[in-house]
Amino acid sequence: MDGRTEITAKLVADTAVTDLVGLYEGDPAIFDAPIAPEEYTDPAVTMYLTAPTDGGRDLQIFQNTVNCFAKSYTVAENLQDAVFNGLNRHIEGSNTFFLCSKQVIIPSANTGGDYNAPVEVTVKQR
Amino acid sequence: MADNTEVFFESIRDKNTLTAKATDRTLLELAISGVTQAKLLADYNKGFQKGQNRNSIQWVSANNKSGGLNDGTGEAESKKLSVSLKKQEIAIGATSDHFVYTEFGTKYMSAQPVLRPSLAILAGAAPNIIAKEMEDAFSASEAKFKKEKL
Repeated sequence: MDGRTEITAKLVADTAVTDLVGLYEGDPAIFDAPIAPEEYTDPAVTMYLTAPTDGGRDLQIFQNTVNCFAKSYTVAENLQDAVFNGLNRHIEGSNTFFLCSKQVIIPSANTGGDYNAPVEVTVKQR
Repeated sequence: MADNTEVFFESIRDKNTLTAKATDRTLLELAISGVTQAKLLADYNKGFQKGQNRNSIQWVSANNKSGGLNDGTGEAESKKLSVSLKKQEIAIGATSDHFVYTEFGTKYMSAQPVLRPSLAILAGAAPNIIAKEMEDAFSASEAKFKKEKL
């Protein structure tokens, strides 16, 4: 929905991304949700809608953020790069196009927590 | 005696001053609109109840004007936005230490973006704001000339 189904499909199929995240219930930890499950502690990708949508356009544009979480700065940065490279200027299916930008990496709010390396994804769909 | 027609052309020819004033007014309105929209979005959920996060949303301009800091109820924010700006630039941001975590979320806490959606809304409204301020500036200039002519 709002482009995140397509984002998830693209990332799950990309080994450069799945090699960097852990497994949750047997699947790569790429969650089409704002947060990861509380019991999951390995590197993960989450995502959410960032800005209002406009239903009046012929070309639908959705602004989403993909968060890349890891305990170390390096792994978070590598995961961010993999997500960016896997999505930016790529097509999913026949009608979805992605444009990305990388945000500054955010340190953990708590000791022992995860770095967050966000990727802003503009999804364009006909 | 000075020819009024000459005065007319000379006044309108000073387009640089006219557009500079209109630009300053436009930037001011954009700054206030952006901060107001962000504070509207921030006025609801976890992370914004005590007020400090919301009070830290503010704007500053290159000519040292500012607004939005601590303009609401709740805990006050002590830090002012500090940005290096060029002429006719504005900045909108928030200075609370934990604002980045409410804006982008954490692994186990949902993001509650307020700055990014408000700037997206502002981008959509900006052309109308710019057109209105330019029209007002030209109308004021015309009215001033008509008064001088009388």
